[in-house]
Amino acid sequence: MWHLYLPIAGSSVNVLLIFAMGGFVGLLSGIFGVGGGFLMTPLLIMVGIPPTVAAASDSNQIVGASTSGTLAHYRLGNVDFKMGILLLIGGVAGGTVGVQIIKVLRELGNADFLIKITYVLMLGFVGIYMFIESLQAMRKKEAKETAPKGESRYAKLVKKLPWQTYFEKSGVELSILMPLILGIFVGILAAIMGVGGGFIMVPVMVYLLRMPMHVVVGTSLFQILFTCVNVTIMQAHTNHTVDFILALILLLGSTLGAQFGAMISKKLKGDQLKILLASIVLIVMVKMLLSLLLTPHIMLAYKGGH
Amino acid sequence: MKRSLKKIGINTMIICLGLSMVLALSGIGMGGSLKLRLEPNVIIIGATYNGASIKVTGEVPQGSEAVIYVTGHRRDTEFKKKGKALGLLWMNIGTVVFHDVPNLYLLFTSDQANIKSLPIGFEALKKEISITPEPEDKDFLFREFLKLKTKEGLYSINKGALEYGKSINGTKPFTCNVTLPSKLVPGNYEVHLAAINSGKVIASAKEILKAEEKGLPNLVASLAFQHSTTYGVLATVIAIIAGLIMGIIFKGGKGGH
Repeated sequence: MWHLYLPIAGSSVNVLLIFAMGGFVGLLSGIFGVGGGFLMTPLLIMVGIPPTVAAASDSNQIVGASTSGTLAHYRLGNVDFKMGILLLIGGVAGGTVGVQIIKVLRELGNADFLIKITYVLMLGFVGIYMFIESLQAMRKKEAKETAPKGESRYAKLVKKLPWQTYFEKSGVELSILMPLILGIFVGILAAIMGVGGGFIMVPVMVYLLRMPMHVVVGTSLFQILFTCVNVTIMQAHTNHTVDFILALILLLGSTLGAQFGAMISKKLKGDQLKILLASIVLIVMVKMLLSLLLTPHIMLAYKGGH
Repeated sequence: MKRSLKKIGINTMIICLGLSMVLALSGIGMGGSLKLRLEPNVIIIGATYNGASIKVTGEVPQGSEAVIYVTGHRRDTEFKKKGKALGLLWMNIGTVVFHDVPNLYLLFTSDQANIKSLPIGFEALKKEISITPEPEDKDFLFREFLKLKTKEGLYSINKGALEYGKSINGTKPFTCNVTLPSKLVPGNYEVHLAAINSGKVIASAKEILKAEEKGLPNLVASLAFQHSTTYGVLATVIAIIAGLIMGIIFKGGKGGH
């Protein structure tokens, strides 16, 4: 009764299940400002959607979810458009470079190995660093240390860069080269790993651009919106892998989830948000590590997935 | 004259023998009483399609067993082969191509039928499918291939799914409910009937089953494949509008934020 046939995926799915999955990932997206691609794509594959269709349709639904999330965060004053656009320009350039790198890697063979190892190392590094840092910050919150020890050398370097400008929403003064260069870096990694890059971008904004956590979430969603518009159109055009019906069901769930997520995000403190995101990143890392270590049930997989 | 008549008789006998052998090999030799009907013979894949059931009925010669198998169109399929990298981590370590893989293979028999040694079933399919690059472990790879296809519901052997009625005039009627999976792509499928006796196929028949997309799935699929860029742009625009609508609805409900 609750089943719907998906013409591009070539399969029938339970609407309620897909809606619930969208809601769950949308909630996380709204809270943390991550697109959720690294969670949604594996979930869709688990319910029988072909990997290529899962990834492409997910980017379509992220367009909707991040629109809704960006709007909610914009109303709360959490979107730094200036910073977002600069990161976006860097991200697009980096993505283009990343696609070329992955092409070369595939020709050399063993690209999958490098991709998965990069994934596990990145997730592990980002997750552990955020977790420990937020835990320490939460413990020290009464001490109110204004000058973190690591800032000096890094801050000096950052201040030496030309074209310094003030980012009002984030309350930081930086060279415009910073978001551009970091955007390129995240773009390259995201393209290699085949994800939107939200979970790398958020720590980059927090730790390297020193933006406040709440502005980070809104700005990240704003940037993800554009990245996913680009990916959806490209995938629909070249691979015919966007299942709009699947995306629409996910979207209804995720936009609803994203709104609740933005509300929860506002109620949580920055460090609480960081520690929660760090935990999710670490869980995904452990799951991926296990999939590398445990013997698979089936020794063959369709070509085309991650 | 007598000799030439005798020669004609021998020639006729050889021709008759040859013809009967050809007929027997092509499976229609004793198939006079073979009947196969599909109800319905067209499956509509609409928006709410979630698998379908078709009733297959027919007749086989008394003393034989009926085997029904449904196959889809064949094409080469690429797979990633998993193996251990650095002796520790499970990775995709290469690509293999399975040639002439049917996209559907469902087999239905009665409890009594024995399909071993017949050119039907998974063992026969293994011989029909070749793999490149030629593997040392074809049996193992084919087993893994079957696991994958069975998990998807696209391949199955259903014993005891076919029932017989009372035999009349040397024919044995049968009924079989063929359940088609929810993961069905549109196209033509072949429903085969094989009458088997003493480990051999003595007659066979075939009907075409059509699976057609209608309504919303058809509209979306044709747009996605024929006007892919428009489809991509439309998909993002609708997603943005849906996101904005949700945002506006929520603002109305939660004005305090």
